[in-house]
Amino acid sequence: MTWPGPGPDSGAASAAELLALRPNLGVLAQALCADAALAAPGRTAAVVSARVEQLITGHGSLAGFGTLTDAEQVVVVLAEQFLVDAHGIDDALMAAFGGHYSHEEQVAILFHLAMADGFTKFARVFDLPDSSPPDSSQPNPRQEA
Amino acid sequence: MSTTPRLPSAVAGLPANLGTILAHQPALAKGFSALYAQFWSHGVLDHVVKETARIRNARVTDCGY
Repeated sequence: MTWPGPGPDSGAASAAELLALRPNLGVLAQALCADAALAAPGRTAAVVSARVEQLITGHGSLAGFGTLTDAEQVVVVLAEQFLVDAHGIDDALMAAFGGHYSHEEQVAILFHLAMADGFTKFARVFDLPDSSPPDSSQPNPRQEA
Repeated sequence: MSTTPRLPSAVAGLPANLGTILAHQPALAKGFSALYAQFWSHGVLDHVVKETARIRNARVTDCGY
């Protein structure tokens, strides 16, 4: 399916114009991104973000994370299926996911995945440079080792 | 997709839905609610545009909301 595009009088605005008009939303979104990163296990959150970025943009690698644990490998499979077609996440995959993570952790990881997927696409559509939320105090796990 | 929620509600007495599942992470639920309220109640877009986008997204992603 292809979106036919905006009409000539759609008044389409740039990302900078939208954020200037809606600064509170930008602040809330950035804070929520930071919360999601903090709520999910740090390394797992970083793996999710890296894999989402890699799948959407075709750039990046998981090589810097070293050998992934069994739990992280399930998260990568889940992330891939989430992006390709969430309907394909079946009971078996969720059972494997649940075998490694508590309910609280599952919600945190899926929330982080949803945020990473959504806002990575948001950034790609507006052709924004890669960056972390400016008010995020979350250390980058990839820089900790 | 499963027709049975794969996680239990985090709120006693209420069924599993987006809100009660997010409640497993109260801070995220609170932040998400604030963001969602900001989006739907304020801003430069009228509700026709918001609803059009919401309904189209729901149709494409098979979302029940």
